[in-house]
Amino acid sequence: MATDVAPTQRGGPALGSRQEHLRTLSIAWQLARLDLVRRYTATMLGLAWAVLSPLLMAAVIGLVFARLFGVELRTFLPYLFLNLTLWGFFVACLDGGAIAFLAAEGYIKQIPRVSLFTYPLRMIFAAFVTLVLGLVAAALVALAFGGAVTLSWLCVVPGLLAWFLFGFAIACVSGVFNTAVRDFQYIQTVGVQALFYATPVMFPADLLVSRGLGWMLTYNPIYHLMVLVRVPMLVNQVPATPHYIASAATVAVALGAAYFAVKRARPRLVFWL
Amino acid sequence: MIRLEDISLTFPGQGAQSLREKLTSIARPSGRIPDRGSVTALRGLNVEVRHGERVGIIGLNGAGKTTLLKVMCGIYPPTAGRLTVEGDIACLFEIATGFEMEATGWQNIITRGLLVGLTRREIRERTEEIAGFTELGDALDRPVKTYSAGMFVRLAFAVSTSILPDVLLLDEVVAAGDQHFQEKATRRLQQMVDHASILVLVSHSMETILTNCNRAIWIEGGGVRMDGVAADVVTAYTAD
Repeated sequence: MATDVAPTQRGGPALGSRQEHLRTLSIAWQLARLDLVRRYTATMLGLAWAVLSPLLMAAVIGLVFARLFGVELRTFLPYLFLNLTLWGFFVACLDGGAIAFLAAEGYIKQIPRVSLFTYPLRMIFAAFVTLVLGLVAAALVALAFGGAVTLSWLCVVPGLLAWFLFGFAIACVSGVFNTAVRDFQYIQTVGVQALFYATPVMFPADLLVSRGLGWMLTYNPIYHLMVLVRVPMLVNQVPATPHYIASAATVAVALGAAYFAVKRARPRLVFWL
Repeated sequence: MIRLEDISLTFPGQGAQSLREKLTSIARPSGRIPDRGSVTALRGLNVEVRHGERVGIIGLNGAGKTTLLKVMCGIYPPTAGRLTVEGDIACLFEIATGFEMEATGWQNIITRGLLVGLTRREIRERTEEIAGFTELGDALDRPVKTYSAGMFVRLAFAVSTSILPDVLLLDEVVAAGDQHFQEKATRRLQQMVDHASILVLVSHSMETILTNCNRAIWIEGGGVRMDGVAADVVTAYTAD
């Protein structure tokens, strides 16, 4: 037959090599792209929902809470919108991570030499694109309410890097735990809900401090990560060093936990599917 | 080269998967999770396959043939023992699983291509050829969730056979579909087999084993019952 193959001499690069890491990224990105296309072509408004959904939430909650806390809507609405966008990423990482390996069962059981990190990474890529879109919208909202673009906005970049690494790490951990014990996802959802009310997402952070609950901020890693993005954009300042130190520590611990969890799971994970 | 040294594999079973099991196990004096449903599939296997060998794996259903294949290609990590594989490895089994259901046939070609080890450039170069081989035509523009079982196999087979690995592991009846596709698939598979320096083939067809293999291993109860020249092993197996 004329259409015979001219195949490569390859079945995949060696594990742990640079080539292998690039391959992991490439596969994860390909899968994430499909996820994004699916998510945003299934609805009429498509991509606009990435922005519209937190915007509507912020508008509704903002109107009520601004009165409740006696704060100005002009500053509260951008604050709320940015917080909800970041929190949305956090939840997307945990929920996406929880099903990362389960959704990849067909691949894991059939195709050898694909790094397990590929599948949580896929979820993170998709969530991160949504986060970036949300941040662009958050920036526009901030500007619309009288914010200004200054050099401090450059600090958003390291902030986002921290968020990306943190998101990747928690997706790996969530994935391993939920594949091993399927009940995990439910416990996780409850935990996240509790954390939501303890974190200044819907209320001003000062509120906790003024009630003598400042320690709730000090020991909340999500709070510090949120500051890294929020302060440069909304207060036009470089975040204070302690926030960077706390965030770096959080990311390091999370990545360590992710590495350990996947390493421990590697000999068993395929049997849990 | 593939070398298995004292390879054992025990499937953990489904008993320990729910939290309820884990919690109730704490209350148990032994503190152990009951080992319900765990199955020992391979017991202390020692096999070495060298360059140029064409090995057929035979045995009854449940003897551990497919499990052995999955251990060789690294999908099932062994519970004990050492596995060494030299060379690029590819395996073909259960190929009608692992699709992005909402994505089109074209997108699935790219995805699977990356997964089996092609680069994006290589995929671009051979997309046309792969698509041609599937004979799916316009159906490639549709989400694969609309495909029939036969169409899934065509798609997966075309991509998975577009590489030429050094070590090829095959489970029987990879190809399905109508007569015409079967013939085409067999020809294409033969190319892969001819190129590979090592072939390990699981089959229930003694004819297939005798045609393709110069060595056969008879697996029984997760261990090697007989290992030798294909014709001898097949004769013994059929007589049993």
